[in-house]
Amino acid sequence: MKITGQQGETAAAVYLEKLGYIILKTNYRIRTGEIDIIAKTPAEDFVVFIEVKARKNSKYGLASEAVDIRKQKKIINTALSYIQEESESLKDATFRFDVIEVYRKENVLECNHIINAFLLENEF
Amino acid sequence: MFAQIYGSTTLGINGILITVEVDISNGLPSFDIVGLADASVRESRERVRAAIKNSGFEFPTRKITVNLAPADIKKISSGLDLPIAIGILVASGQLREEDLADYVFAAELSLEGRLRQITGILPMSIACKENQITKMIVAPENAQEALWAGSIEVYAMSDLKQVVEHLRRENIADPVIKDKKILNENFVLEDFKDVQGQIVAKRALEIAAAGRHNVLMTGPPGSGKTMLARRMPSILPEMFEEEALEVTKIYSIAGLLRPNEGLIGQRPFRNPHHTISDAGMIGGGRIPRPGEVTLSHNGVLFLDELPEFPRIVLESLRQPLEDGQVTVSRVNASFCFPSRFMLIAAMNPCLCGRQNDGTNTCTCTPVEIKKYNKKISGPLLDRIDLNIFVPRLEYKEIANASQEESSSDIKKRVEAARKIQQDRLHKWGILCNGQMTHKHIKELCNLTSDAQNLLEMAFNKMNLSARAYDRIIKVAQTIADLENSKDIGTAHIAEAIQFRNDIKSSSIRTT
Repeated sequence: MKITGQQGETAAAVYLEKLGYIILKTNYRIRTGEIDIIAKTPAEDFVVFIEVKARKNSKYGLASEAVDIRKQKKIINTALSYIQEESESLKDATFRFDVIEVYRKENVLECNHIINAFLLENEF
Repeated sequence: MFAQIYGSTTLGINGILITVEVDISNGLPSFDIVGLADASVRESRERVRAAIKNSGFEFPTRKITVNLAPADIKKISSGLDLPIAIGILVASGQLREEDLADYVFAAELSLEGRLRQITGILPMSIACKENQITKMIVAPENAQEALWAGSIEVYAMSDLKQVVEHLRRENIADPVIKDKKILNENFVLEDFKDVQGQIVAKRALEIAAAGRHNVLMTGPPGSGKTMLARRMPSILPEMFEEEALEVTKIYSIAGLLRPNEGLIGQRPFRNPHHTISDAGMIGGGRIPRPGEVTLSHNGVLFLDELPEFPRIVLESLRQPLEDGQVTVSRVNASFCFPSRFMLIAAMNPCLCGRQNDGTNTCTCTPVEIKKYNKKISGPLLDRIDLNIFVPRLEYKEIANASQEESSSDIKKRVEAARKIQQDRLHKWGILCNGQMTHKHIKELCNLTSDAQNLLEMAFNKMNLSARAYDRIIKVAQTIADLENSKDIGTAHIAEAIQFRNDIKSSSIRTT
């Protein structure tokens, strides 16, 4: 059965909340891109930008492989815009980019969390 | 959070200290290296990240900026991996800044966190010494080399974890002790006693070795030119420690030192193949690297089959032969490399190789011979002091079972002659007759009046150049030194002159 992106994002949000993350925003959207989930870590005060990728299975490659350089750049640009908007509350924050893969396994949605999945490259 | 660490890189043939500054601040996570880093240094980002993680430390998820100062020098050493990693550990609070006073770090990192050896350690440790930094941390394979700079404590560490434990004083390592083996003399050299006959050639090579003069051997194929040249290192005088240090430095930068090898004790002997390019000979590259003339510094550059070398390569030898150094300029950098070498060249007299060998079997026409010899230009020949013919051996010479003189006996005479030269020349800062300039000759060489007359006659008759005049006196001085004679007499001058007959005149005589 198909998994929609929306289902995956909901599953990821539930998964994060279970870990103690505080969800700040979902589907933050600007003209040039979107960030699926923006959350705050329970302990270290990281603001995390999370890209959720859902797949039925990994038959046609891992879900995380779909987050290529172009996608990363889009996410980073969108994150910059978010940081600017919220600059008051995020003054001393540190940031992180994560990817969450969602697969279906025996009718349950399973999350695989890749912490600190990518960094800014030189061009930024 | 900020940290400042010392690393090192090479510039030409010298080392230079690099200040590695690491700043970690809040912001989008990134890892940038600025300060004219070469590709090998920029790639170190991935190595450093993996090495820190795999050594059990934390790689900070923040904005990391590494600056390499001074910013106007291109950094080419992968040895900056270690200082960058240490800098990140300090800036992220995993190491205390006060733990690393007075250390210079120079090693490449593996993904696993092990320290790898790098090239150019000796010049780097000399740079440390000049900057009064007394402690160095290097990979174990580099430790002995680093010690040669003297008065530096060298610590050999196998991985990043060990370095950190040492710096935290949790597990202090002892500095490496200098190996007793000073010079690597366990070299089997070919000996002159294996060469039958060829007395003139042996004499010329002995003079060349004693005064560091250039030699051109002409002769038919199979007469023993290559054999003679290969035995040259066995009669060259021992190197002084400064000379050995210079050679080791060059080889260190060229990456030709074996791990854990001490100072190079053997004078270099290079024989590049004649397909070499001019950049290979003189030095070159985007960031210039030393070429063969520099690799044979303080030793011998042997060019077998001289006319086969491209003209541009041969002509490029003119400047290094005269000046003892060569400046290689490229867009990115311009370096001056030392090139005080002794040129030994070998060639056939003509295309078929049998001209003048006493058998009258040469099949070349005069035009062909002229064309063949034209490949060696006059200015290059002018720089060759000893021009000898290596004839074909007679049967009885080959079959002769008589014992030839061994290299060690010849070497004794060479060393004695060098000693005399050093006593005479050391106050001028030079070591042998070959290095003398016109000024030195004027002040130091005493010709008897008969010798003066002979030289004047030869000068006019042979249409010699001013350089040839100087070079004849230099060779004559060496011959006099070999005989331990104070003045240069007619015999010395005469022998020096007869070694100067150039190939062109000899070919004209027979045609």
